[in-house]
Amino acid sequence: MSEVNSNSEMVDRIVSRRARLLPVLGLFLIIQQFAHFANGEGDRLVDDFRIGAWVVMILLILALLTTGGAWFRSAKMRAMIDDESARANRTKALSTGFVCTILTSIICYVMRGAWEFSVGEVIHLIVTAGLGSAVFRFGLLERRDLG
Amino acid sequence: MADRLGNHLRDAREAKGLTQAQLAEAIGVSRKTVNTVENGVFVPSTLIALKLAAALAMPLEELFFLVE
Repeated sequence: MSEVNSNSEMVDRIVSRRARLLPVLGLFLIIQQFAHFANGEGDRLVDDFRIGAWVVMILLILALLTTGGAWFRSAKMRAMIDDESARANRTKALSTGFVCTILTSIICYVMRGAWEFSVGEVIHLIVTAGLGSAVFRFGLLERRDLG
Repeated sequence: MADRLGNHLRDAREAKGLTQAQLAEAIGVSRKTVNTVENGVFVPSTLIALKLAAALAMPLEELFFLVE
C-alpha cells in the first residue's frame, strides 16, 4: 500500500470516527443534563468533584469541536482532517449552538418566576444546550458528507 | 440568475485515473471534501478550486461552471 493511500485512509478513518462520535457526545451531554437535575446541587465534597468533572468534560468537548481533534497526529494530517469542508460544517454547527444558547437563555429568563433554578443550574442548562446542539449538528453534517 | 456551481470533477479525475483519496492527498484535503465537491454538496473556496484544477491539469473554467 502506498504512503499516499495509507495517509488518506488514516484521515478517512479518523474523520469517520469523529462523525460517529460527535452526535453521541451531543446526545450524552443533553441526557446527562437530566441526571444533573435529578441529583440536584449539594455542598458535599462529591458534589464539588461532580461539578469539576463536568467542567473538564465541557472543556474537552469544546476543544474537540473547535479544533477538530486528532491532537496527537502530525500537522499535515490534522490539516487534512480539519479541512475546508470540516470548517464550513463547524461554522454551521457553531451558528446552531449560538441560537440554542440564546433561546435557552431567553426561556430561563422568562420562566424565572415559575421555575426555581439556582444560578449554577441555569449556567449548566445554557452551556449544555449550546454545546450539545453544536456538537450534535457538527456530527450530523460530517456524517452526511461522508455519504 | 445561476446560483449553483456545477463541475466536471468526477469525469476529470476518472480520466486521470485517480481515486478520490489520491486527489484529496494531492491537494491536502480529506476524501470527504473531494466527495462533497463532486456531488455539489460543498462549494469550494477559490484556493481549493485552483488546487483541484492544477492537480488535474485543467483550466479552472473547464472544471467548474455555473448551472443556469
